[in-house]
Amino acid sequence: MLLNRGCKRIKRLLVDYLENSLGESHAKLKKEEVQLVKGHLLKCHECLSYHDNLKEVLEKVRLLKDPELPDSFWANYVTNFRKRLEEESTLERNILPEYRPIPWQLKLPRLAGSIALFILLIGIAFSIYLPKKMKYTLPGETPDVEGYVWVHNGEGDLLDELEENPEAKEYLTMNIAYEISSISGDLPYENGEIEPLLDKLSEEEKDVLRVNLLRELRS
Amino acid sequence: MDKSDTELIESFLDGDEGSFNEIVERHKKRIYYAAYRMVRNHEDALDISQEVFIRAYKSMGSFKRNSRLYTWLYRITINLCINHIKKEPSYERVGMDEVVLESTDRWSNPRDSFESSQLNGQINQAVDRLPVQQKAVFMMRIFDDLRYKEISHVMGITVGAAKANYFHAVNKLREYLKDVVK
Repeated sequence: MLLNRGCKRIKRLLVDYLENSLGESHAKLKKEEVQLVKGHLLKCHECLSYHDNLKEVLEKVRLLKDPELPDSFWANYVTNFRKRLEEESTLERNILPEYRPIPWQLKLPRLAGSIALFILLIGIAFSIYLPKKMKYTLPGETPDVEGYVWVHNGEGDLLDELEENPEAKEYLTMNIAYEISSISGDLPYENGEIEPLLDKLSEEEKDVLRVNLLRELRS
Repeated sequence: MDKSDTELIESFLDGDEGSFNEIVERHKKRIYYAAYRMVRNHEDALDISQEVFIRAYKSMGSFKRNSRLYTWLYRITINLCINHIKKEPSYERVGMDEVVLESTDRWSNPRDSFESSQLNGQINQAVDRLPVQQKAVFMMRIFDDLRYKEISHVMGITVGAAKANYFHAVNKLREYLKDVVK
């Protein structure tokens, strides 16, 4: 189902909104955003139903309890930890005496071989990572995104490439918006678009954003 | 007065083995349950939690004091859990029954109790369907009440990525459970 821009923005704010209403101590929603969500929920049944469903799920999940374990389990925990630590240490001590220093005549060829292998691996790594066209996998279940990376080529390019991949775009948009809000403390969303938010950042803040996103895309 | 984590670390690094016991004593429950929520198998959670303390014991010298000890232990825990889940994607999530002393059965009516445990099972299954990173972020936020900044430290991701993972986890759970929770 296609959502209008207002509903899309509200649904993005709902997670934080619900944390506020469920008494979470560190939700970040601002007053005007709370008012915006409240006002929208009064007139949009679809978003209200989405909100109620989300709230119900979060409340039920929070009711899940960790299973309780017998006191004897906790009482013996440190003792068992020490026992295991001792076993591992004994194992290491038993293995170590078998170690014999390698004669230097044998060390040289091995060293040369290791250096050659190291250089080869560096070469392979560069041949994989240096091509102009880089491939990234976004975390989670989002599909692969190929193309020049947004962080290298200016704000527009990756977004254009992502037009045909709504799920990946949604993930990245969310990520960028949250990054912007954590850097500048500004509203996380503005009409559900990234560009107006980017305009508010200084060049220095954009650099921080690029570094953060590059690290995230590479992870 | 109880020593702080930092004082215990200093004592341990000065050779006082008892200080490490105190560290284990202090953090064992949170670390065990953090592992249990991820792998949902008692034996594996016990194994992972003890491995966490063994690794901490061996590398305490490299611990950077500007972060909280718990966050560092949590980071080791989550890494071990993620490796465990990736290694054994179809791991069996049973084994608690034999060690549980007191069930969480708070309902007097057997039918309520059955329906409640059935619902809990469905919720747990839904949480298990989440991608592992989203699941870890969700668990930290919901059950450990960690801030996004702390979650980002634990996971080695940015604050924005932590928020995005949480957002996607919550919305996926809503999708998975929309017919169950009414």
